[in-house]
Amino acid sequence: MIRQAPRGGAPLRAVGTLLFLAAWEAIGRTGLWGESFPALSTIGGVFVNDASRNLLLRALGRTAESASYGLALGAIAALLLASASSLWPRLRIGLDTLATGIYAIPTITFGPVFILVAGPEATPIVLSALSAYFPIFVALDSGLRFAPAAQRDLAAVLGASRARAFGRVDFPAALPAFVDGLRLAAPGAVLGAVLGEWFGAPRGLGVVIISSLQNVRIPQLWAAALLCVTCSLLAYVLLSALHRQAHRRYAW
Amino acid sequence: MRVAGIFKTFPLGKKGSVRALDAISFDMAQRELVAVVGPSGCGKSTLLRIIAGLETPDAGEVRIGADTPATLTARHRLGVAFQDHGLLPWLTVAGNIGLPYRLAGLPPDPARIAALAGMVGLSKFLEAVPRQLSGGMRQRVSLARSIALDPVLLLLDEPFGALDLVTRRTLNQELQSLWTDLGTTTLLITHSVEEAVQLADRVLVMAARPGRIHAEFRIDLPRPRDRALTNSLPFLNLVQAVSSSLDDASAASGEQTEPGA
Ligand SMILES: Nc1ncnc2c1ncn2[C@@H]1O[C@H](COP(=O)(O)OP(=O)(O)OP(=O)(O)O)[C@@H](O)[C@H]1O
Ligand SMILES: [Mg+2]
Repeated sequence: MIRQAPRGGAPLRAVGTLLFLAAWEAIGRTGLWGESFPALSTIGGVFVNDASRNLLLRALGRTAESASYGLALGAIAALLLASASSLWPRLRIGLDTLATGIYAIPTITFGPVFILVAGPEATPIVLSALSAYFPIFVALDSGLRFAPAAQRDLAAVLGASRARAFGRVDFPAALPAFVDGLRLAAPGAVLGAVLGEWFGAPRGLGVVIISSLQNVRIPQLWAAALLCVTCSLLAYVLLSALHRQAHRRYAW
Repeated sequence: MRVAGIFKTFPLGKKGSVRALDAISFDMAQRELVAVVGPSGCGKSTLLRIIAGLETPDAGEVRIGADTPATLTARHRLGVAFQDHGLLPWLTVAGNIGLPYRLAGLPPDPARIAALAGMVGLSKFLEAVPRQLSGGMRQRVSLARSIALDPVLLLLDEPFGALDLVTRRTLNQELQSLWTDLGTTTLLITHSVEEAVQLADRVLVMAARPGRIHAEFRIDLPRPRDRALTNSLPFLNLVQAVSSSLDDASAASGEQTEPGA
């Protein structure tokens, strides 16, 4: 069952958010944590300038695009891996190990390799997919494995083939878990795309972050980072709504 | 159907074990409805799962005509309904009743599905999803589903166990003609002695630890067994007799676990 956030929390949440933002502004204004921690208003000022706003928004669009492709590719890979290990249980251990092993590769060290192999344009998508597929795989795999016992028994007694039990019972029952995986993977997909852009992509928030660092444009650096966070949060909120839908339809 | 010398022991903890079933043997004639009652934990569900082929016995065998549970399953001719109805929430009533066709790889027959829904009194709810149904209605869907492929053997494990007494009585009154008209050989597990005597041709009373058959009652009451009959003395006497046998069986039941294996 999905529980709604308790009602009546809105004022409290608003107060909390305001306090947080006020503290940030104060620390920035007083220079308490040094120059690399600017006030919120200074960061917001970056967006007043037409040129830098356009630069940031175009970069955001590019990163969001790469992350979306990455999330989609990751979802497809997770779908294939989890379905295969559900349909052919003998492959399970091998596929589990493969999925975990690939995810454990430190992408930082292999970034330059991806640039050479996939090219600078595709690297953000590749790294995004690599960060995204694992949570989706784990969520879908446990959704498939722990289908309700009564449904399993029914399929067994009716003499359903493995493929039919998968298509008619196990997979639909695992759909909420799959969407849950997407939701978990979304922030990772954004970070993966940004990391891929670091390694030499022509455009994107990662590129803005690198150039802001090199040119010591601290507020712009922060603005880019905040856009990353916003992008992840937005994806998370949208996918949470989708998850509620899936749960309502495919689960008790 | 013949159940011959079924033994089943489950491991429990490090050294202990539970003798769930000990030398269970009985026959069922074609079209016969046999009810099984017994104290909780006496192995009723385990017996049913073995007959359904969901669990393998340590010894003994189950024959349904010339079939074993496995071959009957492969022919899609075994019907089951459990206490947990196991309906798929994303399918409509029609979809759930027709699920056995889908799982068996057969084309669903809309006329047959509508007829099945009619038999359990759900004609108006074909397009509803399980979430919109009451507990009793869900159980009706589960029963309709269990007979969809015209099973050779029907296994029911406390199909009304989760329902309140009144709903349960109504369902039994309403559905008993369904069982007799259907004429499917049926094994019904229940914890209600009234229900057993009302529906069955024969009642088996089981005792626990080890799970075994304690007594057997033939129910030669006329059908249909309506309100008048269930209030009659012969009916009440039989209920009384089965109940006291069940009390004996509970008293004769052993400790929860046995040390060693
Ligand atoms: N999968 C299992 N693993 C271990 N022990 C089991 C398993 N299934 C059943 N048992 C044990 O076997 C015994 C019989 O269980 P079973 O579920 O068949 O009883 P039951 O007669 O159906 O009880 P109830 O009326 O409460 O449903 C119990 O002692 C139970 O602990
Ligand atoms: Mg039971």
